[in-house]
Amino acid sequence: MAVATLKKDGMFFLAGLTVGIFTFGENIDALFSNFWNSSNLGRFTLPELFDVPTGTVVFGVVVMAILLFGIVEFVEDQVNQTKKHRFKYRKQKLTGAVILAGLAFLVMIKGQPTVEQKWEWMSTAEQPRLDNREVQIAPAEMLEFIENDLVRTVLLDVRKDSDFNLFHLVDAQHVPLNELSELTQNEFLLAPSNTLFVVMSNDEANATKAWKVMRAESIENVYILEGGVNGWLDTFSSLVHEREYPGHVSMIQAMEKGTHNSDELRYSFQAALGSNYAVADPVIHEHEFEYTPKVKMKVKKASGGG
Amino acid sequence: MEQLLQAFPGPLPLEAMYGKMVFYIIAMLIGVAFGYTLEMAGFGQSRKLAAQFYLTDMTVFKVMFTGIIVAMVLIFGSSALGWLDYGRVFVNPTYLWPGIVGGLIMGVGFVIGGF
Repeated sequence: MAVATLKKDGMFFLAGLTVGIFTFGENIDALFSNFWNSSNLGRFTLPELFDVPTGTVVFGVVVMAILLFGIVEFVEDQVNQTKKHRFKYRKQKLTGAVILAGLAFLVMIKGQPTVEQKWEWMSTAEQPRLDNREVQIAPAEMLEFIENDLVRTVLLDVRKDSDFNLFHLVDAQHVPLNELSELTQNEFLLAPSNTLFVVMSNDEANATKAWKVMRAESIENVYILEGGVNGWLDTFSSLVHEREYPGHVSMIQAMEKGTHNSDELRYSFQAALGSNYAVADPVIHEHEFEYTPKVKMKVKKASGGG
Repeated sequence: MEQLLQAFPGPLPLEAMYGKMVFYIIAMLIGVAFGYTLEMAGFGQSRKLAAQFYLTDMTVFKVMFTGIIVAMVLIFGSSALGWLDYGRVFVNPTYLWPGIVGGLIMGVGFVIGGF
């Protein structure tokens, strides 16, 4: 600003700034990269620090600010040995303070919307996508994205611990449903825009719940694995060769359909090998799959940095 | 209106709505207005800025902090009503210790440099 109005000190300041930025950029990686990248807390703000609702922080900060304004005006008068602030614009200042504190109080009373509320607000637009099965992607399409280097595919497994330990896809991240919302806010919102999230449960019921949570938390590229882990095993377990992976195939047995509730594992496993089963990371190239491609990657829009 | 705002909450996708050119023009108008206001208020003078540290004139502190808390109340107010999708507002990831050290260096630089 001072530069725009051609102030000399501003010019010098800008020159120094430029040199500083250049020096910093040239050296930071070589000299201090460990420190520079340390203590990453993700999307971490005052409500998380103090573990109180956002509205309370808003009200608290406003009250603190108003008190501070009073204090600094008092200090200013003391230092300058005047009584300027004691009499000038008293009414206006008080009115402003009351209005702002009142608004902040209302924000605190109203509270921030819960995941359920946010889902309700967006459900008119989003529920049809679920009903028309636009977001349930075939196992073969997901496999294609896992192998696609241009897309960062993040697999989120929301099943219970025991099922996850028995069998899960390679690189799948285990996220219990009740931790999903927090993890989304702290981590997933910061993911690069070429990230594709796929949520899965044994069938689709819990994965659909997880999908709603992530949509409500503003994740754009999130899909559901069609048929869940059962669907994945239906598609691929018969195609992984017994010869190359001795034992692995016969250790997995399909159970009768219909003997289980909808979101239960339909396969039994002889050992809890997790993602060490060959079908957790199938290499299948001789087989052509037919499916309807559904993934439409959205690039983040608006909302620039601070 | 309320329902519409809640179904399609902000931030406004200006670029998608009106194209790049309008987006740039709006950004420029806001920037010029901001700069003009600060300059007219004397915030471009290093004396006025340095006065914060001598405790003789705290105007800059009061104006900036007021700006921050007004924005905060409006952002979380509109988020509470569902008009703004706070999840889509970019929040810088926190790197705690580098942040503290960087803040100190920058603050000292401000005092020494005068801006």
